[in-house]
Amino acid sequence: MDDTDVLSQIRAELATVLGLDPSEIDPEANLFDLGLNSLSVIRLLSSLESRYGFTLDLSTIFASPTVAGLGSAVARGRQKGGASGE
Amino acid sequence: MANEVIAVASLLAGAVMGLGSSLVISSIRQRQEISLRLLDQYLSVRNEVVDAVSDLTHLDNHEAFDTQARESHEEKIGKLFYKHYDFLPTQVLDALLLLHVALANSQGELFVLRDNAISELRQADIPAFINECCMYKNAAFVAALALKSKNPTVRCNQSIKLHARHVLYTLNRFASLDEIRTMTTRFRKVALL
Repeated sequence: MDDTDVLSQIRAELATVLGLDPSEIDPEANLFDLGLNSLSVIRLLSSLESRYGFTLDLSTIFASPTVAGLGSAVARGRQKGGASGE
Repeated sequence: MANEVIAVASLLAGAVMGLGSSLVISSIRQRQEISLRLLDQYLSVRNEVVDAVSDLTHLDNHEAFDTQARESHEEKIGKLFYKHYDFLPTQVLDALLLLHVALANSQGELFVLRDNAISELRQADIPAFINECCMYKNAAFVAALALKSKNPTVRCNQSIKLHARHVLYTLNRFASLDEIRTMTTRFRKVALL
């Protein structure tokens, strides 16, 4: 699975969590500006955790608060074997 | 004669014991009074700080903070800082000062006291600060995202909220009832010197 697939999957997860169509999600938009709130953010992180098998921490989210940023963090995590989000 | 001496000695011993016990009792009463006064004072100051700060801990991120209301909060926090300067722990005073700065600032940065000066909190230190201010992971993640929002109102309100929560955090950590109990002991010792 390449980075584009990861990005599409995250976009699809986010779309499900927010009740939007994946095409409505700009990968460069801030997740908060897309409408993520305190409940949906945990739902998104949990679903990413169960899909990729590692946890994204607060520093990662803060450093990359976009779909594209999350995609890169997930890709990096998978390359490292996935102990953390970094 | 011997009986008279014994009687006088008993009288004197009784008087000394009476005087001693009344001194001990008054000392105990004084200690208790100091402790109670300090606790009363502490609870009243604590309520005042919590009242002033609590409204700022749950601002709506999308609603622009009315300038007048903001200035009024700024003034209130500034007054609290000086009013209780000699009573509140340094950490609480610092947090109040930084909240005051956040209220006066419209860009949504976070602030810290470094080398006796107010500076912007380094990006790398922000997650740790957020964790101190948020009890739950949900709020921490949303705060991290909101601080990076493109909307300046969101960033600004989030910064004020975090600094207001940080005041409460320092109040609970450095001005807890346990801390105040230790403080009353220290004050009592000073009072008895």
